[in-house]
Amino acid sequence: MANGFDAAWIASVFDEHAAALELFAAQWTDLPEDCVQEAMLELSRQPVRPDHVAGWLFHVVRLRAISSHRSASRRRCHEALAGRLRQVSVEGCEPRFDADELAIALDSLDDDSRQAVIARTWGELEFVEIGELLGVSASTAFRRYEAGLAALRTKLETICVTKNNRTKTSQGNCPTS
Amino acid sequence: MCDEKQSDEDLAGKLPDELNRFANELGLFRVRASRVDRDQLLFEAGWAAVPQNPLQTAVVAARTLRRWQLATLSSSTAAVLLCALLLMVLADRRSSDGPLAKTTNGSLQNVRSMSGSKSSIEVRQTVPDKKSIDRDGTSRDSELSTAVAGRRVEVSRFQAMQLALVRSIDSKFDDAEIWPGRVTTTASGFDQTSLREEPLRPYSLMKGENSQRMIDALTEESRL
Repeated sequence: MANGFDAAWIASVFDEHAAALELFAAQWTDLPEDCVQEAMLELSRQPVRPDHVAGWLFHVVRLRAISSHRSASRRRCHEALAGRLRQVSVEGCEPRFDADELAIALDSLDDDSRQAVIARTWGELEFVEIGELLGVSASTAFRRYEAGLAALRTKLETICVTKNNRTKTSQGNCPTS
Repeated sequence: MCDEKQSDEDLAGKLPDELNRFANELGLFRVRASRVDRDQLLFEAGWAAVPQNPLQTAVVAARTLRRWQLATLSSSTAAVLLCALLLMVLADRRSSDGPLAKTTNGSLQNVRSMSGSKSSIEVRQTVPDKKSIDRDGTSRDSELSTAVAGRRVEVSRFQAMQLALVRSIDSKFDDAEIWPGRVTTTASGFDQTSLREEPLRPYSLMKGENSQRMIDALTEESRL
C-alpha cells in the first residue's frame, strides 16, 4: 500500500525543506512556522505520497500563508525574512551585503518574482515545479526568476552604494538598514 | 521526469553569466528552521496518523482483550467491550488536542493517573461506583484485585480494560513492554494485576526529548 505516512520519511522531508518553506511563508505571514507545521501534517495525512513533494509542500504552504495573512507590517516582514537567512562564510567568497539588506531587497520585489527567486534559490525547485506553484508555464517561471534576480541585484547594488556613502560620511562602521 | 529535468537545465542555461554569479552569491545565504518545531511536528504527525487506521485501533483493542484472557466472559460480552473501548478511544481523540491529554472522561482520567503515578492516594480514589458497574453490564464478581505501591484496591473490570488500552497506547512511546508477565490468571478465574510503579513521562516532556524514539516507534507502527 502506498501509504503517505512514514515517520522517518516525514522527518527527512522536514529536515530537507522546512527552512526554505518557512522563508517562503514569511513573505505573507508573521507565523510561517505554523503554516509549515500544518502543511507537513497535511502531508502526513495524505494516503499517497505526492510525486513532487517539495512542489506540493510549497503549494500548500503558499495557500496557507496567504489565507492566514495577518497584515504583518512590512518592517516585520523584513525581520521575518532576515531572521531566517544566515550568511555562511566561504573562504575567498564574501557576499557584498548582509542578511538584513538581502531581506529588504527581497521584500521590494513584486510577489511573483520574489516567489520564483525564493522557491528556486532556497527551495531548489525546478522551473516546472515553480510554474505549477505559480500557475504558469516553466518558461514563464524562468522569466520571472530571471527578472527577480535582475531586480534584486539592482536593488542590492543601490543599497551597497548607499551604505558605502554613509560609511564615508560617518567615517565609522557601516550602519545596517 | 527526465524531460522535466532536461528542460530545467535548458532553462537554467539561459541565465546570463552575471545573474548566474549573483545567484551563486545568494547561495552564500542559508535558511534555517527550528529544531523544536521538528519535534512537535513528529509528535503531532504520529498522533494524527493513528486515527487514520481504525483497523490498527481494533488490533490494539483485540490484543488487549486476548491479554486479559476472557475466561469468564462470553463472546458477546467481549464484543460489547471491544466496541465500547473503540468508541472510548475515538471519542477521547476527538475531544482532546493530544492523546488522552485533556480527556473529559472522568474514569479514564482516574485510570490514567493511576497508571502514571506511584501515589496510592490517587489509586484509592478510583474505587468504582457499583451502580455504574451494573449499568455497564458487569457484575460485582468481576471486580479485580489490583496491587499498587503495596496496597490493594478494587477496580472494575471495565476500568481495568480501559487501563489496559491506555497502556497499550502508551507503549508506543515507551521502550519497555507494558505487560510482560504482569497479568496472571488465578484459580478463581480472574486476573491479578500488579501495576508498573515507575510513572509514565508527561507528553509535554516527550515532545522535546523523544523524537527519535517516536520515529522508531511510528515507523514500526506504519509497517504493521
